[in-house]
Amino acid sequence: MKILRTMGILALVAGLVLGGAGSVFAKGPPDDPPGGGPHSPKHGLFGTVTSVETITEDEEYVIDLDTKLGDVKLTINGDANYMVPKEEPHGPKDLANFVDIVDEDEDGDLEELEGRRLAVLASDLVEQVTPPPDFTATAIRLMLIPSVPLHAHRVGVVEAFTADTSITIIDRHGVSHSFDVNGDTDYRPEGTTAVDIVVGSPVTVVTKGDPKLGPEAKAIVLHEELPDWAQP
Amino acid sequence: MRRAVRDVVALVTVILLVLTVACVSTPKEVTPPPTLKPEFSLTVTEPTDEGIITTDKVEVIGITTPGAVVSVNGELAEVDGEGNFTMMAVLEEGPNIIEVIASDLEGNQESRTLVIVYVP
Repeated sequence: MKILRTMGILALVAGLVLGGAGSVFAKGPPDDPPGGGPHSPKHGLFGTVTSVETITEDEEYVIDLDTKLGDVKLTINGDANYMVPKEEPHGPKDLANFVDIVDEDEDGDLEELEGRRLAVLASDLVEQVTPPPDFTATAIRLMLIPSVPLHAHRVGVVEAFTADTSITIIDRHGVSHSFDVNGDTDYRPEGTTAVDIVVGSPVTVVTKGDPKLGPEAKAIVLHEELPDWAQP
Repeated sequence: MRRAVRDVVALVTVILLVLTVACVSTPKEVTPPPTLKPEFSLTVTEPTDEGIITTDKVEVIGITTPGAVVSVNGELAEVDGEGNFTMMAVLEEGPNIIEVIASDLEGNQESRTLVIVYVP
């Protein structure tokens, strides 16, 4: 009987110790997670970088993010995808690419991120019992929010045009702009084709705003009337 | 008496003649009503910037100055006579940029860049 009582007490103590261990430092996921629903392991975060700690150079960093939720310590490592719009190569990048782009002074840290705004798809968002930080999380996908537009509209009068090759327009300031034209270039209004684009036509060219991304005409809109500034 | 009547008639005739000449010789200046050119504008009502989306598509809705050319992420959107536009944007998991640009022939241009996160 005494042995049974002792075993019972030991089991109770062990249960209390093991059950409580995980909650010493963390309260668990927030009651109202910022996206993805209460049972989703993924969360959306937006925040401004306040500091960056290098855990292992080129392998793991911890970013302090000032978000609407509070301070979030975000771990970034080789498991995540990184997006830096306007930078080659296009599309998601790995951590090495990301570090190459961000680490301008090539000293191995990512202090250049301080002050930049990030959008993040994160996992393991855990509220901390003893902040700061208020939360910890791990990045799945991270985007450096661009500060300038990625596309632009150029309005002008056609100076030269060769279908599937290029278009050159002259704008209201007399400056010429040339863009690549290809089979994917969209012509508007509906029914417009390359044949309708002639020298002197007033057009709007929708293009990528950064020369780094290539001067491609994504769309050409043909207007019926000349703009006031191009009237003879 | 007759002479007085004749003088009055003559005076009235002269006055009428003067008034007629005055009306014909000085054409009325027609001042057109002031036509205020509406200021070029662009408002994107949906989606909201820095929002969390749980579907893989989002409808981009907005209004601009009638006659403007509008693009969403480089794709042209249809703009109705009142300047309203709607376009569906397909999202990738995680952060996405929605960039809306409106412009007119006179060189006015406005853009809005929204960042949203698609959490499946």
